[in-house]
Amino acid sequence: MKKILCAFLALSVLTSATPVFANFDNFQKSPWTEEKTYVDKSVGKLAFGLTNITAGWTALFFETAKHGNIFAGIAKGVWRTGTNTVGGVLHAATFPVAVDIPLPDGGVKFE
Amino acid sequence: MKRFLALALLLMIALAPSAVATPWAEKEGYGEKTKGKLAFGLRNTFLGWTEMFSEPKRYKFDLKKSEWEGFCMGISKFVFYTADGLIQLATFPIPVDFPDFGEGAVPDLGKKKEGPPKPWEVHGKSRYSVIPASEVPATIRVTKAKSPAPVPPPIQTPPTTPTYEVGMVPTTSLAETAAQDTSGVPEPPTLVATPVPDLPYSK
Repeated sequence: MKKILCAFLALSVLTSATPVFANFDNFQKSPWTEEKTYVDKSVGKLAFGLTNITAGWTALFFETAKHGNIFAGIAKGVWRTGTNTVGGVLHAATFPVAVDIPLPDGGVKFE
Repeated sequence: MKRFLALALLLMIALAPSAVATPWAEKEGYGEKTKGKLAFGLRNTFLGWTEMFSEPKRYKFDLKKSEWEGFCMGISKFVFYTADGLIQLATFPIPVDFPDFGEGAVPDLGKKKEGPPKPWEVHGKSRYSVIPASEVPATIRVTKAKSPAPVPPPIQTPPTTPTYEVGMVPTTSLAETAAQDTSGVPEPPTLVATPVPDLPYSK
């Protein structure tokens, strides 16, 4: 539990305060927050966490391909991989508590 | 601290009803409710895992989303429904709807389906969808037209030529007589019975 809290704290500090990642700050609310009931929110939060844990690494290739500068793309991809995976772990670990943890760019997106 | 958290979690689950009530809770009578709760518990315990495979199809065809998201949602529902089923199975003699997770896994099991099948229900069975005849536009509907009833040929009576005797005045003019003259109409052929010759193979 302490490790999860530390990871969450580190993630929030890094994302909000570090100037290097200042341009990455585009936090969006998670899709499961639009559900109506507690059960649906919990199910959605666990699913969102699992999706980000299992598919968070895809940001490495996605961001690299999206950026014009390959080095900036790789850097952002590595960062997104970390935020998505850690965010996914946090969502999955805290799924009984229907409180949102916004992720940069809304986490993993399949487009 | 742990006890407090567990109690808070239980209260959150207990006080938050789901969007759809558990099916057996709507039945009346102790016997019906316990029977429904037992069946619900068994179904969710042993069939909760099927959500892992049905959810990707629902995400792909119904929600137009990624199948991987659906698979993750299926794992999540599998966990929830199996836990729900185990709790309901263990407490089936007590007809209290807790935890209320809605219809649960395989909600259409044993129900009569209404309307046309969903796209994921026919996926893999046939590439062609069946459209009821009532829904086909009339412009492209091909119907077999009834052939008109055969009209018998008009019975032709032989023309009657007026006979005149000396001293009589004809009542019809010559033009009318010419119009009534139907000598130009061909007479129907007469059928003449001819004997069929004896053929060697007819004997």
